[in-house]
Amino acid sequence: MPVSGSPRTPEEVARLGEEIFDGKVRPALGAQDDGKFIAIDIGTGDYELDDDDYAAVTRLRARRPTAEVWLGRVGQPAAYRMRQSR
Amino acid sequence: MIRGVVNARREAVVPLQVRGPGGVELDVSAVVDSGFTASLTLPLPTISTLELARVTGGGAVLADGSVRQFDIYAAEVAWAGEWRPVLVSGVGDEVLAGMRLLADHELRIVVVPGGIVEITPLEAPQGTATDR
Repeated sequence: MPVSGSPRTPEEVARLGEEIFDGKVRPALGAQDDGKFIAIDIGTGDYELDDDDYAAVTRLRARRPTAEVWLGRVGQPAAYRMRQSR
Repeated sequence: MIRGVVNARREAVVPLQVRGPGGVELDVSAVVDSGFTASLTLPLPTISTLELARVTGGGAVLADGSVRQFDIYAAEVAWAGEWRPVLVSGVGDEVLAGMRLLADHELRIVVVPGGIVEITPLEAPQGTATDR
């Protein structure tokens, strides 16, 4: 997968990604998409859905190698769950 | 099969070999974390050593309900004789092996200090709670 440095903070990438998801992507999704990973190009709004996180990101980056990408999960506040990290 | 050991804090620790896109390889000790739904976390200095490429931003819901955002990188993990591509969460200062890495495997832990940890691939989906 190509390298992508980001001048934005992870929080800013997430804010932009969530804006695109709420405004453009969510209305086009159905119940069958619940729980899928979604990789969004925050520059164009282009996105990929997949049950696998790696597959969603890889497919989007293959089409848009220079994209600034945010990974989320449909119906969840974030892509993953974890305990408090030390 | 991957074999590890339970440490003094009763954490299940397994040895993993991680490889970056430039061929840099590193041996790490990962704590198996059933509360972590992604594949792997690595501390940022380790990510830097491996020269991993950042591929996306993303986040996780923490145990207290808050959401933490971080950078996510692409790497490969030595697994069953092959290099397996995974996404690595660049967060925290420990190495966590999550349930996405362990999907379709059996995990056995003898939960005493020094106890064995075994991760074995399943031949076919089996042993679900609803079977019983």
